[in-house]
Amino acid sequence: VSWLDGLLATVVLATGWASLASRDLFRAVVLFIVLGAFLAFAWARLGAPDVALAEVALGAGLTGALLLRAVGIGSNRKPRAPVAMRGPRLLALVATLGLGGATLWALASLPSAAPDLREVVDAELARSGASNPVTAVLLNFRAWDTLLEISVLVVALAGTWALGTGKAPRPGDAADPVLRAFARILVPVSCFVAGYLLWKGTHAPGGAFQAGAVLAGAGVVAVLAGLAAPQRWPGTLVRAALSLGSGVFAGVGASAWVARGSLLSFDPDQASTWIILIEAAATISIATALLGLFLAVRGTPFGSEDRRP
Amino acid sequence: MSEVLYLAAGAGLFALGAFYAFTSPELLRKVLAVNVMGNGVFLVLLTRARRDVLEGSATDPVPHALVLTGIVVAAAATGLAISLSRRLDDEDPP
Repeated sequence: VSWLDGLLATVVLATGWASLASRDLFRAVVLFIVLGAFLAFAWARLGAPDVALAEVALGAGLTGALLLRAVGIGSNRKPRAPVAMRGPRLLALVATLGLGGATLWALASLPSAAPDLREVVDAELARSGASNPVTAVLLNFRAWDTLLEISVLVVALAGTWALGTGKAPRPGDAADPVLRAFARILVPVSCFVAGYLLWKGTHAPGGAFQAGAVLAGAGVVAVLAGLAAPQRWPGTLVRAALSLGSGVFAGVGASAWVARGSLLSFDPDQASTWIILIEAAATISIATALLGLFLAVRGTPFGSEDRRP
Repeated sequence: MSEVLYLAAGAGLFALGAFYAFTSPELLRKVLAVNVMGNGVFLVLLTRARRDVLEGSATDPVPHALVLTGIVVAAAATGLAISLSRRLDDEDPP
């Protein structure tokens, strides 16, 4: 069905353009979220359901929430004077058109028989402890990358905390009663969905990142509706939850080093147990880190200890 | 045939994002633009990961894992970039 692909590719490009070209930043962010939704369709069309789930929950969902919150802060500021004059703008236009054209030409002239790791993955899948090949790659074959990826989230949150923010959060946003009632339904359902995605992840699309993003989304809704006050949660608990994922992952990897002489190499018989253990711990850390990033946008403290200088 | 369409959309998103990342005076729009560039790269990677669907197991899972990692890292980087741009605005109000 080639017309569907053509339509989807056109809509994706048009939405991206509409988003970046819109004068109003709020509108730009909303269109960016729409772009994420269309991309999720494209990922599904391209046979990547794991990525589609992550795009909806994280790429469009949580990143969108972060950006909307950032727009909310800046809305009372005067926009910066437009610097780009006609000449440099035209030069940039020509340069980026050239860049796009050259990229497309390079991509179109790639050999169609590119290196394909599918057979290697299929051959080793039975020994990996996960029947979903994407989970097998993430948690076993390329476990090292995933360990560092979870650490990147923690480092990004540490960075935002270290930067601090000059403005205190606006006190007492009175939560809308409709939002409150809606959140009372949405938060438990989201927690349930997160658990399901985590559990399903070893043999079907899903996994720790999708589950963590949905759980963080539940946290965001709970905070916005005034159902949770994460600034009063114990600071040590927040930090423990943050480091749990990389801690468990590194611990399991190190124990494999001691037992089998190779870092992060799981015994095929026990691999599925280790994978579900790592994924459960990682889900908690990912959700905590993403919620922390969302709160930090407006300088809301996370955990009772004051971290701001 | 449809592969070329997705590759064109990916290259287009990359170039579009690059243009606004260079020319926009607003920091938040630059952050948006870099995210759009990333989405273009993801589109190219996943299009190349899909081989002939008739060959049984349809796709190469390694690029899928790469793009998943990319989405997570992009979200983390966006959070950090927003904090950096806020700090810049605090110190040097536009």
